[in-house]
Amino acid sequence: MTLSASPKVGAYAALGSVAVLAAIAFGYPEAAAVGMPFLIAVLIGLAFARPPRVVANVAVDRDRLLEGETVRATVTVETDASVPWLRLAWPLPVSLDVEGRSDVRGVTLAAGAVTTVESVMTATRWGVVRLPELLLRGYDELGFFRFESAVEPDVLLRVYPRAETLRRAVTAAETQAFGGNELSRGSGDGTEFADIRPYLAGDRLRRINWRLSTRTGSLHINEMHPDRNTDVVIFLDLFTDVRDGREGTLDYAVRAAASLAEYYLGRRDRVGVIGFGGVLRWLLPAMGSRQIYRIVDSLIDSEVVVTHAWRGVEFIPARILPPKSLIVALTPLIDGRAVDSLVDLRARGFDLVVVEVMAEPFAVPADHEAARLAHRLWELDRRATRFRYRSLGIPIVQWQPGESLARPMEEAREIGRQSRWLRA
Amino acid sequence: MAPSMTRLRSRPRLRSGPRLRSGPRPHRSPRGVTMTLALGGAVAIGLASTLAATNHAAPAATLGPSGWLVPALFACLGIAGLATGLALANPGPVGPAVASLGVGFLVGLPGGDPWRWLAPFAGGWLLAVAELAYWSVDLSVEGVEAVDIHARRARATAAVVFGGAIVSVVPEIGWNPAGVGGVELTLAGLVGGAVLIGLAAAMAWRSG
Repeated sequence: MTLSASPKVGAYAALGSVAVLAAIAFGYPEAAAVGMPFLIAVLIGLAFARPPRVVANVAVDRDRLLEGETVRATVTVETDASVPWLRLAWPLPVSLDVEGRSDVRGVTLAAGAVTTVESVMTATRWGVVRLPELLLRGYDELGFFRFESAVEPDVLLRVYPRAETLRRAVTAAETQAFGGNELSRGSGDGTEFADIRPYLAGDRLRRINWRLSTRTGSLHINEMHPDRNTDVVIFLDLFTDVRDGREGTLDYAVRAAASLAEYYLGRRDRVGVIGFGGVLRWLLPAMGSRQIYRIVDSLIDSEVVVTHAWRGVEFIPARILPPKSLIVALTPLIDGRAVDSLVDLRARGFDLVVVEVMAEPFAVPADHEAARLAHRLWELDRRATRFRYRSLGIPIVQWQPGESLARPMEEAREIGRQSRWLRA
Repeated sequence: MAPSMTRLRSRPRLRSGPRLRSGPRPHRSPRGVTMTLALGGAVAIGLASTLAATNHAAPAATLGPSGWLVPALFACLGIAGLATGLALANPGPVGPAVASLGVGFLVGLPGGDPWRWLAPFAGGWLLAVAELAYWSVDLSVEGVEAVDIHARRARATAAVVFGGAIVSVVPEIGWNPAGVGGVELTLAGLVGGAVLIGLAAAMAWRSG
């Protein structure tokens, strides 16, 4: 531990010295009487100051948790000498809330004894959080000298986004070859009745519609809609994050992405993720329970990397976007590169649904005329973008942060159904 | 049977009279105690300085009939600074506040005859005020609740204040066993100062 004098020593030394000098200069013994106790106190403090050897360790009860859950951090402190006054300060990041009045705690250490201090922290935002270094500041008996040290805890907390359970979400227009929960428009083996046609060699006998065959005198068979899966790609706009201190559009977009991934993977769909921003990140579409862990692990690393380079869909590797896949884009519709890329994807024939994470709640204009005017222009620009999407036939729904994702998903289903009917 | 007959009569409520206190007495926090004592000590020395300055023999009296306002002003500044530091749990204003109280004492108290006997103890008094104030600031940190730590610090503070007060009495009683004075005492003071600076340098070197 490094030893340094507390502000008290300086104050006492200055008071005592000035008083004694004044006594000498002005021949005023009372000034010396006032100053001497302060000098004596400093001398006593100097005589007894000795830095102790303090060893501290930090441990947490778990390193993976969901947003809103708590983690208990235990600090174990051991010292070779008695420390009457030890402060533990933990400058925690904003994504962790510590229970209690403050993140500074005080303990008393006895020589040779092990003292433990517990802090209960609540994760308020998803992400990978490295616990910051713990600052130790001990004081001697009278608080004249402080002994400082820092402990770097080797603890990495992985806070996963809390996914919302969705009952229904927008479905893909086209299905894939594997079995799933989505009713294919084609015919084949399935449970849902589709049509009746004359028997052909090779048809399964159990499909014969005996009532119609008896009436017509020729064999007919029932055709069924097969249950197939779909390919879903979640497109996350990582160009912009509109924040108001603690929360931002990206926080909600990642939570929505986790909710959608959980929903689609539960339907045996193949789900992939694209993080489209300054750094392009992707996860190839796959199905199964392991994919949800891969997806949330990739999502919690999401961050906005500022870049001014132009990026379009040509930067996205082709195999990330399988043919006939549904692309669900989560975007605040701020950055022109993301806006144009989505239009480009639509032009290439992908089934696209845009969920706009509304940035308005986080972008409150300042209280002056120019700011209000700029805010109105910005809103008009956003309306123009939405109009452009709708005129191009791109389904776009708005999601107000804080509300359930079920409402925009239901709206997107309805829009998708109407647009398919119009296309047919 | 009428429904009103079946109802139980409620007990009449007492409208007046003393109420019995229930539950434990409110816990008095160590920080509140030290804060109150520090402020009380500051107010006491400020009052004593102001009252003593009304005496014609006080140094402040040389400024005229309103000379007592000078120590009163210094005392008020000191108390206000101390209160600010304690309220904000910030040790910064404590040093200047104690200095202001000390100046108030020096211009008010020493000359006042009825208060002259307090002069040798003023240094210890001020030191006690400062120690209590710094202690109160230290107690603003959550978690230090052990009784023994408070008792240890109280003992240590008392010892330092007592030792300081004893030393401060020496110039007042004019005790001079070596039979020296004038230039010799000044030299002794300078040597003492040099020793202090040497000790501080040694500590700085130790702390790296």
